[in-house]
Amino acid sequence: MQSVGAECQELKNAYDKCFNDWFTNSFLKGKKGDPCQEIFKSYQSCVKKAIAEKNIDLWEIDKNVLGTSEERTPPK
Amino acid sequence: MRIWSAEHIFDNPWELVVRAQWRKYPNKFNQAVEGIDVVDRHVDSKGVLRSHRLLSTRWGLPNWAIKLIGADGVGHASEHSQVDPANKTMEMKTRNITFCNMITIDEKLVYSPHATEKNKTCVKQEAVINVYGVPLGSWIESYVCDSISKNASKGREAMDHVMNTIKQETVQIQKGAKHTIESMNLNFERPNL
Repeated sequence: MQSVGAECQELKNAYDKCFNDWFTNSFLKGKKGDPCQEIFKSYQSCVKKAIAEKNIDLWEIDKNVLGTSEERTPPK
Repeated sequence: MRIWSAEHIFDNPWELVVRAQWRKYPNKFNQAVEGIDVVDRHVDSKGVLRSHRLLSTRWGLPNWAIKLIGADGVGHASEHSQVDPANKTMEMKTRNITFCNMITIDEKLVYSPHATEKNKTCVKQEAVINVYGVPLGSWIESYVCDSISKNASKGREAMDHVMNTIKQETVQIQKGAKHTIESMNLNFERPNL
């Protein structure tokens, strides 16, 4: 599976493998601790940079603007 | 607006279904999803795993409709999910980012154990499609609705395929472990004299 940033591909592959092992062998079994945190931080910063460079409005659609000052109003 | 919903039962326990869900792509049954990235992920104070992923997909629209809304064929979607291991539920909500001011596709999936059969899992799927201010909007809505319906069965085939792969991997690991133990025993039986 591709990453949105080609430069993040290796980090993504390593993180996905770590996550799948953790999800199966720790999380679903109620064990604490997350050994993937370090690699996730590196992967996450790489991906966020790629998202910003590609101008993908990932966080824009989650905002609730209705009733706030960001709600667009009709021209007066 | 078009609303589509469906239910399906998988012949596998919830744990296996949710494991397969993370490994669903890539698969040969549904090649529309080309890229996935995890943007945020944490376990909250209640022990629920919360993830935010970015999906890169190919639009399932015909060429003339793509020209009409000006899409180049590749789009992005935002997916928020929660896995609650104590209550055994997994919920995923996906919304398109690309052209979301002209068309919105909101999909929701909920996986939970079957009420009476413990080795089965129910999935409830729902999609709401809205097209705004585009000629033939209503036609596009029903087209998208039809393709979601068709893709849902491909998605289930993909899930079954991934679950079988996971089961085979488990057998391989067990075989590997058995082999290691056997060779250890062999070494014990034949000490180097």
